Amino acid sequence: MLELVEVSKSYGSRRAVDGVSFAVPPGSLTGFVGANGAGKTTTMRVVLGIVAADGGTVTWRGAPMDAVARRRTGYMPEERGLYPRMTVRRQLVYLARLHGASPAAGRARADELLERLDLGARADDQVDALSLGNQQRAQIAAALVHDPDLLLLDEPFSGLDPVAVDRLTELLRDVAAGGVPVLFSSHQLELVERLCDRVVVLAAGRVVAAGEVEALRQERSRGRLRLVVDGDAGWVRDVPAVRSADVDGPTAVVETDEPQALLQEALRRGAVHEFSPLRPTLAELYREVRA
Amino acid sequence: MSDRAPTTWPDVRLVAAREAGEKLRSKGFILSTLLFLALVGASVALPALLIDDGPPEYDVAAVGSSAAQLLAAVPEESLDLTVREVPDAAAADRLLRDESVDAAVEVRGERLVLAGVQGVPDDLSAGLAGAAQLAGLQTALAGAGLAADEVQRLLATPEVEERLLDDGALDESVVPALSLAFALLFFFVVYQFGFSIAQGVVQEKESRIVELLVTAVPVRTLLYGKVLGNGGLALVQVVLLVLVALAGAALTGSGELTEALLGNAGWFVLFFVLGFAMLSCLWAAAGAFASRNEDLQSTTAPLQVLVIVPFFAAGYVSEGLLRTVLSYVPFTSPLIMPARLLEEDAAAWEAAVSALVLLLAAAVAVRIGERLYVSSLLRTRGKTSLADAWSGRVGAGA
Repeated sequence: MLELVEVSKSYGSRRAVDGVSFAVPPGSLTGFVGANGAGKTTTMRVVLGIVAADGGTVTWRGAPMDAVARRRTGYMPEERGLYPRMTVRRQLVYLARLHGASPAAGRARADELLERLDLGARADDQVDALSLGNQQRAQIAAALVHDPDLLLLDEPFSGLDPVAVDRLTELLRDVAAGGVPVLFSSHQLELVERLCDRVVVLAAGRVVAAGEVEALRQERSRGRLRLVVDGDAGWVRDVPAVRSADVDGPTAVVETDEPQALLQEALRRGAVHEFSPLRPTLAELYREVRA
Repeated sequence: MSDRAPTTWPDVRLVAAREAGEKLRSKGFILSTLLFLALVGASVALPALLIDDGPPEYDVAAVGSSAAQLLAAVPEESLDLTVREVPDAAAADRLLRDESVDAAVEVRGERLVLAGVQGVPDDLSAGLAGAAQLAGLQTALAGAGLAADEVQRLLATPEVEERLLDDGALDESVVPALSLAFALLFFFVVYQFGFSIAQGVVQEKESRIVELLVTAVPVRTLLYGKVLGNGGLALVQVVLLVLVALAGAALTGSGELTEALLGNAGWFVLFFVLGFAMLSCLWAAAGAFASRNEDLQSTTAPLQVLVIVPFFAAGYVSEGLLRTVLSYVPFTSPLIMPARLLEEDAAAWEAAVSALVLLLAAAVAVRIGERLYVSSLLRTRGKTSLADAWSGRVGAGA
């Protein structure tokens, strides 16, 4: 488990990261969501020791994150970087060895990843000869080539075509299933919703929501539900337990803390065609917590 | 980084192997090395092959037959003259003006007039004076009743035999050339590899791969690996160049040159290694100061000065106390001390002391370079100022 407690970092007078605390448990995909400049990249850089925090702690498996742990971490930086003039395979093997893998293990893992990412045919091309999408795949392979114990990916999906998105999704799920905590940032909220078990939402350097995606949606639904009856549903406005209602003919979207009372009232009045809780999508939730 | 991981030899070796390996794969590097080798080989071998030991050659106009006779009497082994006889001085002047001849000769009674456009070559005027003197003597001796062969015998140049006390020593004229060659070699190799270290560093910053590298190994490991990888290649290049020079010297029959080079090769290599070590960490720091390739010219400017000024100092200060002093000063000693050894101007203990001073300076420079490199490497926006880097007041951007 990776754990951040009250991590802060300022640049001059600007607080880039302001008392950030969250955990990334093993075996889960955790989405890291926030606007540009919310502090996602700085937070990742603090975890990796590229930036020194002003305060707070980062612990890995219960002990302070140190160089040994960082060496076992896989990282994909926001601003992509590989040696432009080195071939993809040699580069991956080099990075694997730099992270402590044996030459044989590095080669085997590099070839496996290149195959899985559909990059096998370009393995002996220089990085600067690859298309941007392929460079992106090579960058993903670079983060994974030493079989990391912890994986941090900054916008890994941006710039990938749908097929590559599926490949990466599959790959990340496999990595997480192996017990590796995976934290990745993304702007694609539907993707995060589909892929992640957990999410951390950052706004202006602070955590505004964190936890399991389902629990968050539940928590934020605030008793909103949708009711479809025969005839006009205008009567719902007069039910005492209903806080607010938006009625359109037979359909009403209401907020209530006593759904059972509302359902009984509806059934007393006639047929009920639909009675379903309305959970916000991650995108709605995100807009809400940022407001 | 707060928690310092130890720099281990396998990691340093890995980084060094990548540096050297990628260089050896680059066609540009291989080509420039071959070109450099060819250049050195040619500059050792060609002069010996091309130098023409024959007498100087001149085209000369002779005004009238007396001048032509005089010129015909000039011995061929002292001056190789092509003579054109002209009727008068005006005709000779025309030939001079259109550069058909180098000089014109006219006999006016006892006097010999040598005409040129702006001047006449010294060896030509000396040779002609000698010839005129000889002709006068010949005429006088013949007038005194001596037989022609007697006159010939009297006036023949006696054969001179050389007997040298210091026969084995290096030809004095070769030493300055050799010193210059040493200085040039050091200058080019340090400049080439130093600049390439700085370029490699800025390339890692520019491509952002540095963020991946520093999460894997300590920053110092990257620095040492870079310096070792490039330094090792530089050393190989130097050894190759010296071998080519030796081969060239041996082929052209300069036995003494070969011996002198061999005798001092160890010192040269030692001074090269120490000098390179001293400058290379500073080059790496200069690279880390820049965040884009375009900044390199300005961030490496101080180092360029540190390489170029000593080179010219070594070239211009060729003797005296100043040279002795400079042979102990760290930046100039790698250039001057090997040359002094070659000239047998310095004893082995002097070289040892100078090498020790250089070693200490290198140790200090490595520390400085390391500190600057570590604190500026992760700064990816704009140029880093020296003061900020020294005090560690830098960090990566947001």
